[in-house]
Amino acid sequence: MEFLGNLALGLGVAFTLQNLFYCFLGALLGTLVGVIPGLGVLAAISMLFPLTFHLEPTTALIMLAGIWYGTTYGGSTASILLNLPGTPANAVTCLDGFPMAKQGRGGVALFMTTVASFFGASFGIVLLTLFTPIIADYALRFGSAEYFALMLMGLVASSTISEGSAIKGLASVTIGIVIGLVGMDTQTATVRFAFGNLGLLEGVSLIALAMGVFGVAEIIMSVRRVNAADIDPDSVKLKAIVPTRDDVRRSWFPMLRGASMGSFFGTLPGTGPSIAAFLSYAVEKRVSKTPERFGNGAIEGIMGPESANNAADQTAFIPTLSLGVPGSATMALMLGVLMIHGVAPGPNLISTEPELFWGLIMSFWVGNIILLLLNIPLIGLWVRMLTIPYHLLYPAVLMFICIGAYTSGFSPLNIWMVAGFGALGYAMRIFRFPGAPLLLGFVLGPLMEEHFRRAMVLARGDFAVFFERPISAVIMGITGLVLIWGVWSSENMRGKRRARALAREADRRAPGHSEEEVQEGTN
Amino acid sequence: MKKMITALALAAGLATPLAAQDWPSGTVSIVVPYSPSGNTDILARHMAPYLEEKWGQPVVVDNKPGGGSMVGTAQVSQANPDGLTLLMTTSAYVTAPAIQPDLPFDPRTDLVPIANVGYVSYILLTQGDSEIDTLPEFVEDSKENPKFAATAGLGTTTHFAIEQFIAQSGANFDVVHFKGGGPAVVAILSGEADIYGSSVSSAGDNIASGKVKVLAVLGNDRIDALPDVPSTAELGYPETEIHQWVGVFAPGGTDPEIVAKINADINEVLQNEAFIATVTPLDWTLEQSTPEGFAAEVDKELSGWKKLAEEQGISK
Amino acid sequence: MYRIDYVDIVGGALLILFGAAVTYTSVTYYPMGTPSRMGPGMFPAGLGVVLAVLGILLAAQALRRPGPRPDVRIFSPLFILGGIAAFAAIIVPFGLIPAIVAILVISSLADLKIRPVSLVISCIGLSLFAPFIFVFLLGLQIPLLRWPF
Repeated sequence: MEFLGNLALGLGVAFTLQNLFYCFLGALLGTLVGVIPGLGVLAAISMLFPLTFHLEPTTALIMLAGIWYGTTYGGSTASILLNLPGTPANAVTCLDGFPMAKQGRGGVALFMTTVASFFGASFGIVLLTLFTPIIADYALRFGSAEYFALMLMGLVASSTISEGSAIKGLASVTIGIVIGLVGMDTQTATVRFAFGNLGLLEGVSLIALAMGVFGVAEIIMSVRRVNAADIDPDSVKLKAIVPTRDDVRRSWFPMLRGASMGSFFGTLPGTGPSIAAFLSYAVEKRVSKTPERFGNGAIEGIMGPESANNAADQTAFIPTLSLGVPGSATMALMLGVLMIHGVAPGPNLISTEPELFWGLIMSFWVGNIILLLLNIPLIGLWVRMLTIPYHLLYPAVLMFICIGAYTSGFSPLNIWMVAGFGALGYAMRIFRFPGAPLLLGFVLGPLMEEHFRRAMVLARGDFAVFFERPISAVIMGITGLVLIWGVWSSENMRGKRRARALAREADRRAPGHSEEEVQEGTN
Repeated sequence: MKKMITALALAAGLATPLAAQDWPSGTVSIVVPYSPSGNTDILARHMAPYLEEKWGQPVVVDNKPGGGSMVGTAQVSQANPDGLTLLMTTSAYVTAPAIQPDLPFDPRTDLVPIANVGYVSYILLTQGDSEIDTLPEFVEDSKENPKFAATAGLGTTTHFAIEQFIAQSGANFDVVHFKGGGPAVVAILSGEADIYGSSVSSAGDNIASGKVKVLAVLGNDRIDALPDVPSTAELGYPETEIHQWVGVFAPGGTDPEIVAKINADINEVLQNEAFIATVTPLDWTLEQSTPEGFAAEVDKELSGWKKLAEEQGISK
Repeated sequence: MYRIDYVDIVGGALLILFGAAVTYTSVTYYPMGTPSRMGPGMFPAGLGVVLAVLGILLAAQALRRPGPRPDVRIFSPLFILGGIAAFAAIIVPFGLIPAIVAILVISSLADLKIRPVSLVISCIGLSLFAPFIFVFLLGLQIPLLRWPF
């Protein structure tokens, strides 16, 4: 009964006119920021942060939270239409979302990811509503050894998700980790791999890396190959967003599995949405009877991860509100709003500030419904972007990438890094190395090293610790299985694919094609 | 369209060098070189709205944790000396260089001290459900069952404080570094570490809710925020004066007029009744300082800690 | 079509080189520490070894199978990366609008076709649109036009 009372209290708070308005404002802004490549959620929240001093803490949080999950909705748009992931979590959506757009199913992909986002978020909110105190306690049982094991599992799983050799996937992950270590060591403040460039103390910019390896490399590959005329004009009409019955049937379980995984990872500070999205993709590919469809526009490949990262976005509030431990810089900003208004986050928050806690949770529902209503009509507008001739579109996209990279730190070094990573991304395309695992390795690498080193201190130098602590041992066991499975199945599928590739190659070399054309890749 | 042109003209105008009277011309970011929800972070977030009101520009707190505060500190040392990027850090500024010889900046010249904000005492925390209730029992027990002592990072004052206590008490503690007071307190909550020399505000709500237990105040006297907790001197350990101060710095080469203005504004906030009322329960003792006086203090402490580190053999 | 997979052999060799460089740098310049007190060199040194091993595995497999010809382009990366570099070089001394024009013009050349009319239109359009979004709406402080001399 008390529970229903709490819900009613929360709804009462969320449905005041002022809170509804700021919730809408946050969601709208979040969507816009998410769609513009290179602009991060942190930038958006920092910009609006000062406004929050003049608002009630609940209202302020409702607006900032709206931006936070709004960007995740919007972030999938650029991933699907342009192969430009705004965050590592969205990089997974590129894998199948972008092929869907190329097949003229961009509208369906956008519509379905909106549905998946809504589903995942709802799932996360339900957990948040029912189990916050319990979950907060269990999150504390994860020590450094467990975090290291979890990250290792995430990285190994990510290396198996892309089409092609698991060895290349692992190599991409490892290169990503090395790039992540550039800058000052978080334990001893030793500067590593910066080669005297003091601008690199802070490390490599995530935006520059993502935009370079994905966006710039994609543009280099697509110039003079993509024609607006290739896009079926029917595919950009509003009715083309309606998914087929088959799409819907295939989507249920991926959404459910994704939401569960996302909810779990969201509660662990620091790891959150990206690991959840990658693992969800890996799992969908494993359980699928037709894994070869993945990477070629499989709807399961976008539904699982999008549901996972949105669920994680919601459950990330659990450690922030109930332990006072923010999982990310964005969550730290939200914590800042609470503290400025004299609200102390911690185990007692729910009992001392019931209006704030329940009002915020109910506003999540309102915000997600607003996002659903806001995003579906916008899909029609976004897919029209595909009809812009590519020779006009790509320079504009490059410009947005550069401005975005520049504004994340106001340093031209970030733009130089975009160019450098564009070259790296292009080289990786030539050598057929997957890009998504690189991004995850980059994000998790420094954290992984930190937890590894700390776990070793706590175990007094005994490597067996990862197999002796029960939770960590189970995760390490799963990691081992994923690794064996990944290598085995990729070698297995390679055989089949090579046969197909050889057939294609033979076609291409048929009379009428000069050697020159084949090399410049006019196919 | 008219607005556009105005914006264009304004933006073009911003490119010219700034004089102190125009400062601040934009968002001021205060870099805190620790994770969120630690002591310094909380203080910075409490101060930010007051400074924002004074300066009429947004004031944003930016966490850059790692390297026992040296990661964020090094970044500010490289920032534009326009007064728009400031550093709010702890006495780690003077302790860390004592044991981290190869820092990419010189703490004496690459940053300018602006103002000393105040200081807090250290309290020794352990798990709330621990069977041990007093510090002497805890130290005795550690000789049978070695304990892990958390710090807010290598070379931070919490690191020095606990090393000093280990040397004085003969306790068997192994030191584990975290990225600030927030994560160190979580390590106590989760049982990963057994003891942490924390500030009252880092421990936050967890003292009241009984999730952590305060064994002692590290120093000669009890503190007003926790009147029932004995000090280590009272418990028979050698007398020691160790505090963690917090101060504000700017990149080296910042216009002295801007430094003086920021110093004056901070001093004013530190006298604001409402601000004092929010931070005193967190055990803050606030100071008034001049840039010159603070700089002299920093210079003296840099040499002092270096000597102490050598004497006591504290190193990486 | 090659008799053995040269692309993966070169890829594997590059991995070995990169891994060796990472390990060499870590061992030479950063303290290693002990397992219970790892220094900043230990973790990257290990990663370098992992990379080299992966490189060996990759190249070894490639020796046993035929592989396709790589599709390497020269002009596309040149003009696109060149455009980005121009933006990076121009934005601070000259401001946003010259940087926008530079990147649009240079990167358009990657198409190997010059379309003067649409190029001029997109330069003007985006020089108005981008400042509108970033400077006017989002309030970011980027100088639009500057003259450093």
